[in-house]
Amino acid sequence: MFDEMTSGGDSSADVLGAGRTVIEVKRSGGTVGRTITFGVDSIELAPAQATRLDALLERSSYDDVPDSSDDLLDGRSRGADRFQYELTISTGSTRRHCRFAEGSPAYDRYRDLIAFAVDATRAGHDTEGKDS
Amino acid sequence: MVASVQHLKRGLPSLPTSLHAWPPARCCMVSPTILRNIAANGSAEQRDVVLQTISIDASIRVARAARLEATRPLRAERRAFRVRDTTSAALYGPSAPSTPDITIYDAGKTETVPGRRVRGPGDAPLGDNAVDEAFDGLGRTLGFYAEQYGRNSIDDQGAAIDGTVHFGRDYDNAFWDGERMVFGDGDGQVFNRFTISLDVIAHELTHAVTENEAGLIYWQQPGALNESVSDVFGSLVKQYKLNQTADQADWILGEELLMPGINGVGIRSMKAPGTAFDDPLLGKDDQPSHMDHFVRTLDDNGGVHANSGIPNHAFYLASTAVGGPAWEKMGLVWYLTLCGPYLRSNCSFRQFARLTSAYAGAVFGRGSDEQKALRFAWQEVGLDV
Repeated sequence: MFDEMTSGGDSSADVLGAGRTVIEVKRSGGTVGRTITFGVDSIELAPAQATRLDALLERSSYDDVPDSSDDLLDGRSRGADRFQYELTISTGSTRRHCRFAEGSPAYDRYRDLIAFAVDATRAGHDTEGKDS
Repeated sequence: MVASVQHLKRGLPSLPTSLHAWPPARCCMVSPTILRNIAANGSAEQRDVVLQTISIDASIRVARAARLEATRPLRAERRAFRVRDTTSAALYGPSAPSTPDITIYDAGKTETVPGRRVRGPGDAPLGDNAVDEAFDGLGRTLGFYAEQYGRNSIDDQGAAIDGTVHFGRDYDNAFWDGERMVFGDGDGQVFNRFTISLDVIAHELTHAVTENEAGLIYWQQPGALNESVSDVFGSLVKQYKLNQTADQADWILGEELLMPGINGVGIRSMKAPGTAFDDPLLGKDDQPSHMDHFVRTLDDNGGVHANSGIPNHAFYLASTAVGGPAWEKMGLVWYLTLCGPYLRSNCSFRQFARLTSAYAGAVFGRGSDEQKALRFAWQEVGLDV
């Protein structure tokens, strides 16, 4: 599910220092249909929050995420108006990226991490939430 | 206004009747992906169990799909027959329950469904806005479908309706999950609770109708049609409640959703797609109203909520050109198209436009003012039929 984007070197990820983590959550769909990006950068967090982010990342085990991209892209999963997510996790020199639908196994895995990024953005601790 | 079954059949183009695709795959408790992973990586014993599960699940889905496919012409004909007979409330008929079978659950701000049962058929109002609005809104929507089109619930066979409210924390959305309608409370800054707008409730319930009928794939053009059909009937339920003609209606979806201070009139405008909101917090409405501005994207299931503006606008143009209550003429044409045997699950905008034109000709007569108005409306949004 995750594409490791930077094993060959990705300039934007290479500049991240050791121990720094940047999470970007792009959410589209929903009954309103807006695309919104939420983000969090560990160097802008208070120590307690940064520790919390590390714990969420470790708990999510993002190297081994169930693949839901087929369900997402063929449009055959039941229901309508659910959110669609693109998650990018940059840590040190590695950058990983995946897409999944709300309610999928991948979403369940990342639900707390997404909520953390959304809360951090809304609290203004990191990059601004922005419409794209 | 209405036509006989034979007239409807004669008036339609000679399309193959067996082209309707399988409805969407049904859910099971464990996703097929997980089952496939276990089958691939588990022990021999686990693999045997999982393969048996997959086989059973597939059999159920095939059987269900086959049943739906087999009964589809019959259901379509029954609806057309009802439409031919009358458009009165008597269409609901003796088989329809006097009290709609609606149950509302409370998720308690979690993302667990269905949640705790809080109101069922015949229960008095609870005093919780979200619960009572969902209950009343779903009931009003069922009533609209019954009174105008003789439809008995989402499957036309009297299915019980479940709704879940207070879903998630500051949750800015409402959705149909394949089993129930689910409503968030909104964040209180940009969005109000999602039960506050009757047209949003009707929009979600209509997704269930579409899934039971055409099964429009939720991706790109058929997905945008799926969305548009929900907007059309969402708006019609609101207009029906207000007893408005097409000229009197505002053609706004989610008028009550936006919090005070947000610069917008709702979440979508069928009259003027792309103008519903423009706000620093919410962004700008990006719906096109013409094929020249069709949005190509992977976001939002291929832009289903953006490109729905195109068929939405065609419906608005045709309805206002014809005049009168929009549910009586163009609404009927859309309903027959949705439930008839010709609409495929991967239908394009152009195919949908042609089908609606064919139904308009069958119901109101070839070359009728209604059919001309509809063809002109499709042309206005860039779709020649």
